[in-house]
Amino acid sequence: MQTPPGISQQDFAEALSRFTRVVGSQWVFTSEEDLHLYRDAYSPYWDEPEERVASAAVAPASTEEVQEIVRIANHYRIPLYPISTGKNLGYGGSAPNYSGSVVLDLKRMNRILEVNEKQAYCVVEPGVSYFDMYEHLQKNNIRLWIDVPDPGWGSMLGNAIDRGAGYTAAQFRNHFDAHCGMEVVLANGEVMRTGMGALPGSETWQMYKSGFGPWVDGIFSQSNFGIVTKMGFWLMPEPDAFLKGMVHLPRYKDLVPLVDTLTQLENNKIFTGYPDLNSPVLGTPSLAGLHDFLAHGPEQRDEEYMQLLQSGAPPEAYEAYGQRNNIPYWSCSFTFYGPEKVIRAQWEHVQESYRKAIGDAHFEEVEFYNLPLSEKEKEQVQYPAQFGIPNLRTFAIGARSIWNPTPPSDGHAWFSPVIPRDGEAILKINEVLGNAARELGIPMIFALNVPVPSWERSFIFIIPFMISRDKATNRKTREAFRKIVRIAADNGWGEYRTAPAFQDDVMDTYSFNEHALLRFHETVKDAVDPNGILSPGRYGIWPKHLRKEKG
Amino acid sequence: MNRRKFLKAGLAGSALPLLAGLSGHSLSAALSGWADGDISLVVSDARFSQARRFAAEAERAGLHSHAIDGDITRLWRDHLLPGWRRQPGPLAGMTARQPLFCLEQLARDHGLRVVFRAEHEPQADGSVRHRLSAPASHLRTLDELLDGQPDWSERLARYSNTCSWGLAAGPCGQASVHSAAVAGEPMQEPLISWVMAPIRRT
Repeated sequence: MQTPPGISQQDFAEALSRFTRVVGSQWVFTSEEDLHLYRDAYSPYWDEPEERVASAAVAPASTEEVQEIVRIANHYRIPLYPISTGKNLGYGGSAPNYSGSVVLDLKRMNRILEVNEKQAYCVVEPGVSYFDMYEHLQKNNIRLWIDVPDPGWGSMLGNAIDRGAGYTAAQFRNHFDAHCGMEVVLANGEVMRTGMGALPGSETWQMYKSGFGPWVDGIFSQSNFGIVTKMGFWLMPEPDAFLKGMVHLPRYKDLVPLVDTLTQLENNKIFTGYPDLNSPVLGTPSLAGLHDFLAHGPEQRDEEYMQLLQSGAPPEAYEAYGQRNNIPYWSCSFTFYGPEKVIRAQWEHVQESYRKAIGDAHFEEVEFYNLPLSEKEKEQVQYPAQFGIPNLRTFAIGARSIWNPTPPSDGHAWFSPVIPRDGEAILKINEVLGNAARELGIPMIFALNVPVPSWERSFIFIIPFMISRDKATNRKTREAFRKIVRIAADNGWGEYRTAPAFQDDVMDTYSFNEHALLRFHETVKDAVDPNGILSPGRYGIWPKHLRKEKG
Repeated sequence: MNRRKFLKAGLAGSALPLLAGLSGHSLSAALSGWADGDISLVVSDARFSQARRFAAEAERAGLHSHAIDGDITRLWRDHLLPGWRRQPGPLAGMTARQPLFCLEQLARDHGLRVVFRAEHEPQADGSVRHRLSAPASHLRTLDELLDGQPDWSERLARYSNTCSWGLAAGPCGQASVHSAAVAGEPMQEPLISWVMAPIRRT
C-alpha cells in the first residue's frame, strides 16, 4: 500500500484505523480498484511516475466527521485533498496535487440545507450537484434558477470554489461572485463561518456578503487554506420571459466596434445574458451550434473554402468569401431576461446602438419564450444552460475529428488566460498564440478563436490541449502548454485556472515584486495550516516543509 | 443461447493479465457476492446501426432499452439519478466511448463500476476487432460467441441478459477476438459494449 511521503507505514495504518472509526469501514478506500476511481481521467501524466495519485480516500458524511478527520490528519501529518464531486476534468478532476495524499471525498455531504424562494438564495453542502439542485427546484415548484457550467454534472460548491462560470445572467454567471457566506473547517479542526454567519443568530448569512472586518471568503477559493463545508448562493428569480437576438456583421475589422458596443451595453446593464460571440465564416460555433459541432464536427464547406483552410490563410482572407456567400464574418447573440415589454425595449436599444456604430449590421430575433418553459420547450431551446438547465451534451463528441485526431483524445487540459474585453485584444492574442502554436506544433482548429465571455469586464481565451494515453505525445503537450503559459504571461495574459500539473508554472507567472503574492499566500498558509496537511501544492501554495523541495 | 455455455470452467493455464486487485474489496469477490442483480436497463447509442441492433435484440430478450443520441442527459436526469438514489442497479449498453465515459464517472458516485467491457474497433479490412475485459471464466465463451460472427452486436445483447454473474468466480482477464463485418454496413467508429453493476464490499 502506498503511504503519503514521509509518513511511516505504522502511522498511516493507525491514521486509517482512526478514520475508519469516524466514518465506518465502508467509507475508507485503500484498494487499487477504489483508488483507480480517484485518478484524474484527463491527467497529462497518465501512467507516468509523475502522475499524482492518492494513497487512500475517506468519505465523511458531516462537518463534524470532517473535523475529526482533520484532527487525526493533523496528528499524524497526513496530507488531505478535499474534493466535492471531483468532476472538474480539464482542471484536475479528483486526483491530488501532492501524490500520496488522502482524498477527502465530500460527495456524501449532499444535503440541500435551505432554499429561500422569497430571498432567492440557497445553502448547500459540497456533494450537491447542479442536477440535484435543479431537480429539487423543479420538484418543489420553486421559481428560482441555478446557473450551470457545461457539462453540468459537478458540484455547485466545488465549481464556485474553483471559480468556474456559466451561461445565464451576469450576476449569477460568475459562480464564486454569486456566493454569499460559507462555513469552513480549518486545518486545526475548528469550524468557522464567514460573513454574517459569524454572528450567532444572524438571519442574514445569505443576504449580506462581507460581514464585518476583512472579507476572507476569497482566500478559500482556488487555495488550500480550509475545507468549505457549506456555501450559500444567490439564485436568479425565474424571469417572465427570455429573448435572444443576433447581430451579424460582414467584415473582419468589425470585431473592434462589435466588442466596444457590447461592452458599453453590458456595463450599462442593457442586457445581462451571455454575449455569445462567434464567426460563422470561420466556423467557430455559437452556443446554439455547439452540440452539433461536438457531435458531428465542423460544417462541410465547398472547395474554395477548403483551399483557404488548407493553405492556412489568415483570418482576413475569409472576408471576401463570406461576403460572396452571404455568411457573416461575426455574429453575436444577446440574451435578455425579464418582462417582455422590458426585454423587447432593451433589444431594440441594442439594435439602435449597432446601427449607429456599424451602419450595415443585420439583426435577427432568434428565440423568444414566455417562462416557465414547457417540457417540450425545454427540449427545443438552443442552449439549455442559458435557462439554468444542466446537461451532458458535451459528451456526445465524436470519436475522431479534426480536433480529436488519432489516437483518440483521452481528455484535455484547458489553457485559459484572461484578456481585456476588447476586440483588438482578441486579434492580438490570436496572432501571438497562433504563431506560437504553429511553432510548437499545436493544432489550432480555427483560423481565429473567439474567447469566452462568462465573466464580466474581461474575456477568458479558452482553448483545449488534447491529452492522450501516449506518453510521448503527452510529454510534447506538457512542454507546449508550459511554453504557451509563459508566452501568454510575457504578453500580460495570465491564466484564470489550471490543472494541478501546471499550477506551479502558472503561479510563477504572477511574479510582481519578487512574487509578493505567492509570498503572501505562503505566510497565510504557514499561519492557518502550520503542518501543511490541506492540499499541499494546490495553486502553487506549498507548506513550509515542502517548499524548498518544490521550489 | 443455452445458459450452460456461459458457465464453463475458467481458462486453464491462461497467461492473460489480471484486472482486479485482491484486497478486501476485490472485483471477483464482489461479483460472487452480487447474485441477485438483473440487468434493469440497456442503453444504446442510436447513432450507430450496431447499437440499434444490440438494443432490438435486448428488447426481444425481454429487457427495457433506452436510446441516446450521444447525449445521456435525459437518461441520467430522468431515469438513472432518481433510480440510483433509491437503489443502484446493474445496467448494460453499447455506445461510443464518450457517453460511457460520462456514465462511468457518474456511476462511481453511486457505487457502480463497469464489470464487463468490450471495445469494438473497425479494422482496415472491414472486420471488427473486439477487445474484451471480463471475468476470466467468461472469456472462452465470449471468444466462441463473437469469433467470426457478423451479428456480434445481437449476440452481445443476449449475453448481457443471460450472463450469470453470480457464478462468475476468479479474477478478470482480457482477450481479443475478431468478427466479420455485416455486409453493406461498415463500422465507422469504435463502440463499447459494457455492463456496470453495484459493487458490494467483501
